[in-house]
Amino acid sequence: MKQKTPANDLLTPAVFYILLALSAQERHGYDIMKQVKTDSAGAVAMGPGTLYGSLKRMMNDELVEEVASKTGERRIYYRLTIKGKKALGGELRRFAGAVKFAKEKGLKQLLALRWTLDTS
Amino acid sequence: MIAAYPASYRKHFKESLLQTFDDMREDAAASDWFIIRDAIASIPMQYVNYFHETMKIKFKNLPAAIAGAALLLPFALLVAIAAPAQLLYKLGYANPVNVGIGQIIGTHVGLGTVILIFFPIAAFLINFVALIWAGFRDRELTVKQFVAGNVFSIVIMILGFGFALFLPFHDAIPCFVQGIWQNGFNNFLPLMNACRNA
Repeated sequence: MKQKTPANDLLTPAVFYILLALSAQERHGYDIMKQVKTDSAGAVAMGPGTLYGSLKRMMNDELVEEVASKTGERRIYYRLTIKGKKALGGELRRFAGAVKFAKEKGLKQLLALRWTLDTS
Repeated sequence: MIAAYPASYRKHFKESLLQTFDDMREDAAASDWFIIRDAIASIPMQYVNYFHETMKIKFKNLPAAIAGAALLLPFALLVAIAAPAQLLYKLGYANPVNVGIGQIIGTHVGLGTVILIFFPIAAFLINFVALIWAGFRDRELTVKQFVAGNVFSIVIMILGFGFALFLPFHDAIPCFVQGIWQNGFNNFLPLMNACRNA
């Protein structure tokens, strides 16, 4: 049986936005928090407790890893692992597919379908 | 606040958390309420993760524990309302429990009996049976693993037992505790007799 891993499973919004924040560069905790808030247009605002909890889980799942600061700061930086990059890539492809599907079908038609499902 | 997190989390992230709090304060990025709310949400989650990681615990008997908790909830709410209501009464105001809930329970004695006696007994029994069943089912577990895995069920069972005793003994218990507090266990039997009639 194929084992489910975060690389092929759906990501939670917190994990997705953390991966996205780390896709461009290594970041420390507070920097990740700010980037997540920006990327999600304020929809995902995580505090320090939640952030480090998510990072801990993500390190256990080998999606991210710690790196020492290159400038000699005491801060701990985080970066994506290969598995993390794959997980983010998979999720972005899924989103891209959904957008493509929406464009092909026409957004109005999809919204109408959703309205039909909601009211049926 | 950091002290409230599990030790493994604290050990790994204490410095990072302090640094982040400093950064947030410098930026005036978030209110204290935001940080408190985040801690309230994340601390229990870290304990759940901690149990999963360190003890490999899979919590069992959760349906029984949830059913028991639901049965104890009306009792707990009643006590939570009754205590401040009694205080209001002592301050010279009308006791809202006596004029509200007390009146309902007073006129519907059956309802009061169900909430105050049968619900806690049911909560106790459901979890007692579930624990006995789990004991037979998970015979390979050590006592520590069994207790940790069934902790919610055990707590609800104990609460159910305690709540069931509360009504018949609610006058005797404070008398007994006060007696023990003042005189220790020296006059245990006379104290029992005295408090039985309290």
